[in-house]
Amino acid sequence: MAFFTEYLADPSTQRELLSQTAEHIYLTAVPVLIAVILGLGLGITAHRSPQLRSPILSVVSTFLTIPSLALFALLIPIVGIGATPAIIALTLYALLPIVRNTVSGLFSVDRAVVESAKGMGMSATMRLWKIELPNAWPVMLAGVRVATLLTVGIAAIAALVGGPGLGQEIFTGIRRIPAAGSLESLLGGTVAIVLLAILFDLLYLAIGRLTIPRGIRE
Amino acid sequence: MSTTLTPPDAQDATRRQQAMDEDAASARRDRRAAVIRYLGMPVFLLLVLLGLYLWVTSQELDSIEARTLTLDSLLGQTQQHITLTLYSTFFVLLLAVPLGILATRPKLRRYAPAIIGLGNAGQAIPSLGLLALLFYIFRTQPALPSTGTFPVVVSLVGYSFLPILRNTMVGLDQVDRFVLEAGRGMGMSNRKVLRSIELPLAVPVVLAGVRTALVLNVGTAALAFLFGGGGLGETIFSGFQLRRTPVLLTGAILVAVLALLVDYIAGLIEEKLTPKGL
Amino acid sequence: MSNATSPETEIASLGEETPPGQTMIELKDLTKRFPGQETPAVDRLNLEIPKGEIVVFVGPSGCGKTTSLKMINRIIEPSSGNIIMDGQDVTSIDPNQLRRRIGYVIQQIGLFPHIRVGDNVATVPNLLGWDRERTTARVDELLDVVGLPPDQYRERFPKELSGGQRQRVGVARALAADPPVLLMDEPFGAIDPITRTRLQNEFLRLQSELQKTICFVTHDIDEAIKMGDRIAILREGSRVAQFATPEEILTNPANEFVEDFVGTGATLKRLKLTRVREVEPTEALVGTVDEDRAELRRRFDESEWTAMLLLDEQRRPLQWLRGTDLRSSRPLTEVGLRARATVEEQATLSDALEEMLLGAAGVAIVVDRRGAYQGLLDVDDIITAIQTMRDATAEFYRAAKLVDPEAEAGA
Repeated sequence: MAFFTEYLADPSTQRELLSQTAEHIYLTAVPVLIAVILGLGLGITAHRSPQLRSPILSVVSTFLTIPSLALFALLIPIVGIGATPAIIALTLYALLPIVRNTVSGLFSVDRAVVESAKGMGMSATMRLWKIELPNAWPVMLAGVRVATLLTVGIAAIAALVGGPGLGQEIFTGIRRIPAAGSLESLLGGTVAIVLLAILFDLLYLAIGRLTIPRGIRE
Repeated sequence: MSTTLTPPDAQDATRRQQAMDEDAASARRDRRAAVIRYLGMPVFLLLVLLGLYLWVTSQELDSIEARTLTLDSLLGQTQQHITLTLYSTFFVLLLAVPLGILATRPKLRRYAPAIIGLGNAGQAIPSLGLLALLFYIFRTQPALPSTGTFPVVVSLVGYSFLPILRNTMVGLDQVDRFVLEAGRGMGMSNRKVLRSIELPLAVPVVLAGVRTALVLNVGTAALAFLFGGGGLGETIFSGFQLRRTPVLLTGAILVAVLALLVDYIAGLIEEKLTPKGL
Repeated sequence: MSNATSPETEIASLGEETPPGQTMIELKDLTKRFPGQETPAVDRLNLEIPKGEIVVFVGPSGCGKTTSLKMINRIIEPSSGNIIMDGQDVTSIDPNQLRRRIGYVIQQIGLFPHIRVGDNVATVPNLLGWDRERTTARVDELLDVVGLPPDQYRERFPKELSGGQRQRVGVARALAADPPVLLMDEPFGAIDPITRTRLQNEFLRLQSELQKTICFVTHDIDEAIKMGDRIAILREGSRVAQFATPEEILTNPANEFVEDFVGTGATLKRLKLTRVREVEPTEALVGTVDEDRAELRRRFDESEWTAMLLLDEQRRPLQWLRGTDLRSSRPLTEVGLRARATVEEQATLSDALEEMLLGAAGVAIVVDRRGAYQGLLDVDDIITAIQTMRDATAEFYRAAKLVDPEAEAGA
């Protein structure tokens, strides 16, 4: 492992990795945030309307079928090179887990609970915000977590078509295989992404602890 | 009420007629929905390809573009792409499905959660990094072939192995334990239970695995060009490097169409082969 | 809304117009057709529900009783027909405002799992905009009423309660804003038989104080007889096979359907109609623990009784003592037979009979809600009660015959 510690000890590597990590976090957090907002709306709509449910779910899962390199590339002529095509594509990818879990989370809320809320005179909006969403929240949060994991990984590919993030370090390594220093770059980028994924996971654990009401915690 | 003017029998007949009309209408709706479901995607993909063709031919292609966008090279890359996808799917299923079945046997069941956990953790590894690391091993170990399809296929298999293994195990785990118990209760041996109950019930799990593996591999095969494996990723990448939008778009659209088509076909196969009633 | 009388103020006064015993809820040609079904689930249901009474909808499954109930608070919107409540047609007013004034209890309870018991009970007061102090006070009061000490239960989550406790919270939640009307859909259906009996008794005791107008759905004729002031026996399409008091239904079923539905053992079922408090209990020979033992012995020797019932300081039954027990030197609480077979005054004679048959003494000790001794019941008392009951119903029935209910309704 000596070669790797040497690589990490180099200040220029450190600077590079740190700024790429920051970019990677941005490249993950922004799409996930947008996808949460869109996915919530789509999920609620799909739950409410049986007619729209299957179209919404199939369109959203079609996004995930399109290979990431292709989707990044498709967006470049429209929005240019850089972070923007990556953010749009990653948002589309993050939608499926969020929409799917919002729908199944809302369906998992005991119908008797919703009916009794209705029976006590809560309006549809109140039922949604005070009863249905809080009770669907654990399942929805799990969806956001999966979406984040997915995004962290796929974001690496953005580097192939000029995007920012830790993918750049991996790409640098790939171009140099099998020359000296290539393994370091491959490992550096990959390990940093795995660590980032673990950190995000811990973050979701904490968010779950803080936001899931005690009455419905496992 | 006007209905009192109509004799009861006639009322009944009208109501029956209405019900039949409704049935017929809903059957028509069902048929229309089925047509959209079965033909919607291929028609859409055909239109996309047609649009792409018309657009590209209407462009004034410069020499670089014209050289890259030949039918020969595109067909060649498509073929490579499909070959990579099929090979890697075949081998990953060959490895992961039997292993998944083995790992969910009673004797090994206690390891199952650990393996599934590993599969979940594997999701955190970026495809690009894992593929590159696996390929690096091939390039740097003299005993291993360093060029051609083989190292790329192995890398693709290495990447899709954990997800497919995990899906197989989760799927088998979900096969209703009561059904198994009922089987054992009737005096079936473990092997008999596996053959006559678990495996048939696991057919959908395996089929879903085939579909997942195909979709996963058709996507990662787009990265094969990085390791000398060719495929349609090449066109995308040269389009990007040469700043040639027609090339970039052609590559991207062909990859997307191929992936959607593979998913569509796999979906059809899944539907047709899944035993009725499951 | 700029109207002087907003829907809320109109409904807030729900129930103040109608004097007790008069019709509080009137269902007029209430009909529900579900799309895609040929026959209506509820077909022109007409029913008058008197104020302050429990009216039970009972019938075989699929008869439309639950649909009928759920149309009253418009959880299910009627296809046609009207609901008149306290003289006001509520068929087309804002359903949310309406529901805030109608308590609603369902079999699955439907407590909100993510909030605490206290917040569950406070739901409707919060919707009505009560201030916090008033709400807190009301929540504590209600938890007390349903037998859940607020200090222990207010901060718990629903999953930390047993099924019976949950349904108590469900009842408390429905009563929170003191609605004049309660709708109960098989409220005790999912609870084990022992707890169910206890909850039924407690609820009847509560109702004797609250005098709410209650629609109660069950499929269990025994529960209907026990709980109902009036029973509507419904057959498919929610058509009323008979709407009458339990006595009337048991002694004079209107048709074969009712007869079949009530089933055999109508006489035994009638024991469920009479409460223990309606029967004069026999006095027993009692003594309390704080009395002098010699004094107890003296009273025992002077009496004709073969046993004395020992009570604690709060007059709750402890032991049955025989002569030898009173003469022994051991503490009184350690000798004799433990006094079991107690029934509350709210219990039915059927409950009392069961206790007698189970208990060793062949008698049931009647206690009040605090468990304090009130008297004794034995089998003879029950037989006497049956005889009086029979005479009374016969008389009631003769009187009922003189007034044609159809003619009265038409007038």
